[in-house]
Amino acid sequence: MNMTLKMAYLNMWRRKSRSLVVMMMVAVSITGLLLMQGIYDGMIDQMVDNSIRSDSGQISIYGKGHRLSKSLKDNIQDFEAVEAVLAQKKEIRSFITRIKHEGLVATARHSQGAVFIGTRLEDEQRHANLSKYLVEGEYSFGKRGRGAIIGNELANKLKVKIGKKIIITAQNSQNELASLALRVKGIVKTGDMNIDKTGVMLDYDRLKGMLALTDQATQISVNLLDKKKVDTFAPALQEELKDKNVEVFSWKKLFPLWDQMDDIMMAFNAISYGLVFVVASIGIFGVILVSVLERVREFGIMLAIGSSFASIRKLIILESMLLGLFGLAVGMIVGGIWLAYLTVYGIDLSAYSEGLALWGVNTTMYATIKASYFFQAFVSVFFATFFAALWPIRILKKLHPIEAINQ
Amino acid sequence: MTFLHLHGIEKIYGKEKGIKTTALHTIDMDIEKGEFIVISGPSGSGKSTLLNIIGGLDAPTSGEVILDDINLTELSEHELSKERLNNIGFVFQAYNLIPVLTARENIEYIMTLQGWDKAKREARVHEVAKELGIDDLLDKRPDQLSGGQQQRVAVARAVASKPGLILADEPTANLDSKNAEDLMELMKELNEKEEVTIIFSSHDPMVIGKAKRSIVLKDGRILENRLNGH
Repeated sequence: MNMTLKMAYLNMWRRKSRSLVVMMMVAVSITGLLLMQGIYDGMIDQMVDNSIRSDSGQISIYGKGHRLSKSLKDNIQDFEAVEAVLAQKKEIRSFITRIKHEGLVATARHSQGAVFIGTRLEDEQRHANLSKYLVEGEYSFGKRGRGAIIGNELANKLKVKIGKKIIITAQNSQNELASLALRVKGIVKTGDMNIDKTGVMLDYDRLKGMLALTDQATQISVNLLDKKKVDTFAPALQEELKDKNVEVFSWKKLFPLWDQMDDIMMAFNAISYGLVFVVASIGIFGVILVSVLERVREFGIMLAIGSSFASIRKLIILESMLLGLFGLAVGMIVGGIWLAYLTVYGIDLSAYSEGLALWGVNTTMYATIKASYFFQAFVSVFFATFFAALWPIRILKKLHPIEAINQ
Repeated sequence: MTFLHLHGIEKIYGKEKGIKTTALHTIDMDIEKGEFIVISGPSGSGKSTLLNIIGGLDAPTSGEVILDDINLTELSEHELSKERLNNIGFVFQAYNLIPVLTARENIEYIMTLQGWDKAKREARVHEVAKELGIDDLLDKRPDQLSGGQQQRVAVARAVASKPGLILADEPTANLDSKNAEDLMELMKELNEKEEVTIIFSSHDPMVIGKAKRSIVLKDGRILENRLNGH
């Protein structure tokens, strides 16, 4: 082992308890930071995933103007041509075509505004794994397609149970009121507030018939193989579909709040790392300063027998870095294990389920784990240790070997 | 041939504060290569100050120190540091070994700074340790050694890198008489075997008697400069 590194390592353990306290301080800060980052990121990911999974997908295609007007006139007119374009794209993992329309859902005693979603369950399963979120009943519209799957909160408001009848009513494309009687076959809890509170899913062709539509669709939801490519893929797709009279939205455009949460998270991370930087710097600075002041004579001797100031500076920086990096390593291991555990088992927040549901957060909150967390922690502690050593080095630089030896 | 030439060395402390204390008054001295010299004198006579100036640890207020044709008084701090590393070995009264290193690593330390390769370092450590009778102590740390043993390690550290000059400031002051005499004998042997110039300070008559030349200082002036009869 290099002698300077060995000396730095051994010097670090000359005051075991002091060094251990600082290492613990760094380790606890890093563990806390990793957990905070992983849990917060996991929460945002979950909120985004809940919002886009069962509805928009990573990209949604609507007829031009439909998002504002919600009018059947603004549906996608030639959706099969759009589907043909999508089918050619290697970047696309899956897509699904839906009819969506607002109306009224009623039972004998209650009524409620709702969004009707005409869809095909096998496509929903492939695209959004919808059956996973079924909490009651069966994942089916029934043998004759007269069933419906509705959101759990809507079911609560309507006080309907599996097998009960509901009537859906809406204005069709001919501007006439149209109704349909359906039996509740299943109840879902997707985490997406729109579906859970207002969603009534029924057979695609049945809703198409009720609304007197020809070959039209309201929404095509698209998922990519690599979700990170959404920012570049969506505008390119819009360009390619410009003659199809449709609008292409990435989930970030549809849910700007979630995108902003990412920015907020970045600012939050910067502040957190800044705090860790300051905490680590102050802790290590204190230890290194005391350690240097205790060993002034020793440094004087080293200078006297021929060590250059540069080699002493290197020794002090190494001691500082070892202190920080040992703490960092412990923090990374402990934080990493915790995060790995939380990515699999999550945190049970069922006691706060109602409040969390408002935010689209599941009752089990899963953390995420990314290499960037560890890299940022490393950079933060690395610079903290470096800066912590500067002042003690400055003190030594002013000392003459003779003055140091005579102390 | 003059190995070390001191010319008009004067050291005044507190000059900038207006309270002048003259530690050395116009010291002139020539020392040949391979000499074994003691600088003696009572406390405050300027022994340590003179050794520090010879070793480039302190700068004279005026005068020149020329060591092996290099004028130390004209060198920058960095150059002085290199000169100390390559040409001067130091032995201190309080041993001053690096506490976290073993005796072997302490002896190797200067050679490592000089860039000796590992095999050469190890061979030299064994050679010097054998000469000083510390070859069975090489893996011990300073706190596991007695004062006498630590001072031998310190001498080994000073001599191992083969400097031209070794300066020892009261090397026996912390040792009992037996250890002090043994150390002086060893230093004398090294002086002859390694052909290294050794200058040490002491006020112990036994130690002074071991030197080949004796320079006596009093109040910063050379009172006597004589060869000892051996």
